[in-house]
Amino acid sequence: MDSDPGLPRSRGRRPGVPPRALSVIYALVAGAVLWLTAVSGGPPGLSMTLAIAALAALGAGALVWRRDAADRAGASQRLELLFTQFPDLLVTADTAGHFLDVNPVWQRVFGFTADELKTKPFLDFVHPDDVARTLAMYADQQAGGEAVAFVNRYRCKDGSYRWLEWNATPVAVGGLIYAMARDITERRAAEEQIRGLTAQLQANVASLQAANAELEAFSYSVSHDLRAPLRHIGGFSDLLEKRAAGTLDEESRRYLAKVRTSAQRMGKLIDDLLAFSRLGRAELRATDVELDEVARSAAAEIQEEMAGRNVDLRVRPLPAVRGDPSLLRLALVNLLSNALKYTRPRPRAEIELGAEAGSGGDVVVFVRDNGVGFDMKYADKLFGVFQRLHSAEEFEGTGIGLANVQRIVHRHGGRVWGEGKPDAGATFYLSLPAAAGEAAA
Amino acid sequence: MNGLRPVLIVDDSADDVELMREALAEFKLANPLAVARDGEDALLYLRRAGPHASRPPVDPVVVLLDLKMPKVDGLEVLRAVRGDERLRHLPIVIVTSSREEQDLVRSYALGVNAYVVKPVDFQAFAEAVRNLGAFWAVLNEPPPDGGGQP
Repeated sequence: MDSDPGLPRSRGRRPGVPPRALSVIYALVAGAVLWLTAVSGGPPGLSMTLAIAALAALGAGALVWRRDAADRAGASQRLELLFTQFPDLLVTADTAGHFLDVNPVWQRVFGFTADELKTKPFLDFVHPDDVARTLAMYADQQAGGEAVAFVNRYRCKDGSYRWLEWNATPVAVGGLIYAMARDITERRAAEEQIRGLTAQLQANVASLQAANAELEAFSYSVSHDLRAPLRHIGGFSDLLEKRAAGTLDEESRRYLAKVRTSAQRMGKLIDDLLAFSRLGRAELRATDVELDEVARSAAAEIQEEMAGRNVDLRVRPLPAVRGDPSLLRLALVNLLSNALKYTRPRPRAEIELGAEAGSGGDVVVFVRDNGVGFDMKYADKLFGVFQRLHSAEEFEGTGIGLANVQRIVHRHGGRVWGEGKPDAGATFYLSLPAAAGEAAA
Repeated sequence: MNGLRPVLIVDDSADDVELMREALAEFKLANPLAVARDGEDALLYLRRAGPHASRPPVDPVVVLLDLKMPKVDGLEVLRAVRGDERLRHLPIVIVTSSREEQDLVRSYALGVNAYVVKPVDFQAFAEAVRNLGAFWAVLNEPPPDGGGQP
């Protein structure tokens, strides 16, 4: 049945005779023989019997013939239905370049009636840019080639074009082409959109890289070019003080001292800014980190700052998290050092470092203190670069510590926030991804 | 005093040169100071060429080399010296404002003897320069002088 094109109006006729036709012929021949035998004489009883048998055979033959015709009509109807209901575009084309049959989908997609499509050479409907390729494909088809996933554009009645993806099979008999096409205009538009988005993304990445390189050049320039004049301000005011110490009055010497300390403070600000910028650029080496160890190491680092103070530092058991141990250590040192600083007015500082389970499998680490706290209305300013809620006279510092903490936590994909009350202590929280565990290690 | 080899300061900042000079004078360093204002000048000095063709034929005891300079920068001077058969053992100390990791990595890759970041604070800066003078001009035994031989 492979060579059956399965389409109505097929011109191909099979060379063999179907078995059903044979049985009709056998029945007719048997009936005729019996009838002839019956009328040619012989015993009347036998003649009668033969005549009945002959009629039966003829009747059976006629019955089979009718059923055969009915079956053929049914199959034809099913094929007709298949052709008209098929969701893709179906078409037959002749060697002269005309469509012979088009299913109704064509009219739905292109707006042309079947007759409009059939009266002109189909190349008239092909997009001018696709004509050469289509002709080549058509010639290849007629030479017996198969078109698979061949793509071209056909014109709609409104003048727009739609993309078709073809699957065609040449049939040797009559040189006809039986083809199926799918309207892939929307798919191509989506692909085009994806290509556009990808290109845009690549352009964005390139401009980000350029911005990053610019930033690096900037911080290099800051580190070199801004430091030098500061050193000169400090250095020459120092030399001036030495040379003129005897002749300057107290007020003048105070001014000179202010020049020097301002230069020093600006130097510190520049150093802090550069360190902050490096934190953003440093490579994140994420592993499973035992926070207990990191906390121990961070607590050891602030021992010196605790000297001469009454501090109750409690480090609770901490879980493992996923992150860069050296950056996480820096974040904890910043938070502990902060807590230490802002509990200074307390006779006894109470600082607690602990963890709790967060939502979505995260770990929330907190540092709680009984220090001077802060007003929640300024909570959004806590993590800004050089943002301070206290004067430098009250508490020293440039205001980079919590900005560093935030940058580190953001680079881990986590969140930082603070809770506090004036004069009633503060708690800083950071959410971190839980350790991947041994299964993933 | 004539036998003492000079300390060569290579720095484009006149202010920094003056501050270094002050710091070394306070320390009473006996070695003469030579100054080159950029990398090109430094290489001419070391090779006794151009304006330095007539300088005494003794190599510096140490070169205090700034990184960021016009024309030829410090890293290029370092590369040229280390690639020069006669000069390649010359002690070179980078003295710079930059503490950028890339500068440190490149300097050591090119065979620098030491790397010092100029402190912003003058007291600390003076202290660092004094220490450099004490170590490189007094304590350290430099390689035998090439004596300007080609």
